[in-house]
Amino acid sequence: MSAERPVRSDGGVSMNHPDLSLSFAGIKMKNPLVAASGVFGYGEEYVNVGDITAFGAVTVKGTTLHPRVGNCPPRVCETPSGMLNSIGLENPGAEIVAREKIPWLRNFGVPIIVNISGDTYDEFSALGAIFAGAEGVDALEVNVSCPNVAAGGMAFGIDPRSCYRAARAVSREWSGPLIVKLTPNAPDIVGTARAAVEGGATAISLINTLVGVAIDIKSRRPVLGNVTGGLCGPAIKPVAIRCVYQVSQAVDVPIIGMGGVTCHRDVVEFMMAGANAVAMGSGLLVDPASPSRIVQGLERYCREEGVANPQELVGAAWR
Amino acid sequence: MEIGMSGKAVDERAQVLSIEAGNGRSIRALLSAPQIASMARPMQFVMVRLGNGSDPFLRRPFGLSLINASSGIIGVTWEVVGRGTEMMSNWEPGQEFSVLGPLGNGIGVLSPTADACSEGSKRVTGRYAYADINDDPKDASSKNWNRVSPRGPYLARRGHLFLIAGGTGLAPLLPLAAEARSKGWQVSLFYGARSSESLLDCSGAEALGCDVRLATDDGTAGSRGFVTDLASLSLEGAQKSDLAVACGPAPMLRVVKSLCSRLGVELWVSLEERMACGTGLCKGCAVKKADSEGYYHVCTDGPVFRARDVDLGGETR
Repeated sequence: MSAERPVRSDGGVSMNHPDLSLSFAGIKMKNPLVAASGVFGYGEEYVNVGDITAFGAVTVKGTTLHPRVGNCPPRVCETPSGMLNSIGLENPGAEIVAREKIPWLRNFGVPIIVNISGDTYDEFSALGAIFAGAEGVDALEVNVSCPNVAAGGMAFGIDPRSCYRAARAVSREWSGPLIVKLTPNAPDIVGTARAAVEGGATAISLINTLVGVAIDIKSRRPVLGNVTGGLCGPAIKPVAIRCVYQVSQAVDVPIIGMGGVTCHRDVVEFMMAGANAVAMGSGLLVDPASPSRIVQGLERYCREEGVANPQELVGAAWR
Repeated sequence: MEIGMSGKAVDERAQVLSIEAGNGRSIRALLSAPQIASMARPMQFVMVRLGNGSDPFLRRPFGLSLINASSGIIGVTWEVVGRGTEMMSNWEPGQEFSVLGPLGNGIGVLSPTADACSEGSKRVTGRYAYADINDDPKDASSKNWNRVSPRGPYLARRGHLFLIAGGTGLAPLLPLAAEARSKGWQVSLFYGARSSESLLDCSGAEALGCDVRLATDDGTAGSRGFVTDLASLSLEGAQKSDLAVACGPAPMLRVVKSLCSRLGVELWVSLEERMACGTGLCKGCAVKKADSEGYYHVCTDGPVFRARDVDLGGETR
């Protein structure tokens, strides 16, 4: 841990009042906690059960060029310390998101990351162009890893070359902060991370879900309508920590770490592995009001450990 | 009948007051949850968290078998079908659990003579009045709980209420029966299960003056056969203005739907689907729309749906 981080000029930072803020790929965040894509919708349901303003930034649901109705149910299934899901990118399409969802969400004053998903490089370019022309989008997150849609993102994120091309397709149209969200299903996640950065990514988020299957022993059939689903929750946290640990040391862009975050201790662990910001996914489904408690927990941890800003913790575990 | 959200959801520490085994494999627990009890409408549901750890990970959805606002008590009834319900069967009085609710659209009851449009500020569209939706986010963000925009149709006055239940599907209909009776509605309850062993206790509904008819597959209680056959006789005589609400296994709902559709009786069904959050965040609990491409979500569009709006799958008898 280093104490060399410059103290803000307003002098408001001390060990008793840790400063949780950060500048993430140019986005000003008041704390490092992010709502992950797919568990937050576009915020419209979340306002009924939690406080949007608790987050440092929010990532809206995976958005495609055209509306999608999503996959056949069942779409979710609990597994040990986690769950499988195959929602199938149900969303109203980029135009509606840009025109209606973002302006509404903007009212909360929290930075907005739009997660985009395409079937082709052309679709990724088109999505980049739509959101470049929209107001109120702070960053794009390119989904090269969604395992659920048969023709979807899987292939892009598995292979460094296609990961590069997907990032490039977006970065040609979009000049703002560009996050590429990596899949742990890639044989060489460090290679795909490097390819994403070469393609124009100014930040990396990881990990997306791991592909899994659950079988109903009464019906003798797979539980999910789509057969395979994405595994998330605390069960995948060690995999996520490993990926963040490896990727953050191999690239020079900031990292959003995620996978099984349910408490402030998980946030600290991800930061020590090399994440600058940490996203909450399925934990939010279980305890939607927890983000403000997690941020308070992080603040308390910093106070107790003599940390002026949790950014000091980033990569503390590297060796 | 008034169908729509009551306005709020709260994450409440609920304390187990009592837990008792009912008929067959059924178990009922009474929980002290004053906030939820004061807000919940019949047919709304709650998400119960079974512990503080990560396993089991997800909350479990339950309809409310009892809603008593004045005593602050809610009832949850279940059969052991998996790990979660098995853990719940070991609940002991005094234990506390996080319960999120009330969630989803419930059914509110107006007296048959009341004007549906006299309650609150509503805009009337044809047969239905819709509550105004105030979606100004400025007053929507708060600490632990938030207002849910009141939504959905408020049905105009009706006559006779027919309830059709199968197995544990009876549980969420009991508060509806009680509220309907207290507002002076005529209520007929048709209830079926495999055998007398597996019937939940419905003496409460009987005591309230509901006309209760039972059916069991093996004839050990009530008439032998399906509850749908039992209900069909009475539904034949229903008026166009009468209303039916059904809750139970999908095959039963399909039969009731085709019956009511043939007789022109408006039917609402309470649906179940695998659920992760219960609050609309994950889009997991999808149910196919009847007339158009796409899906509704049981947690936010339901759990009660107008039967003709949803595809119940394999809809032939």
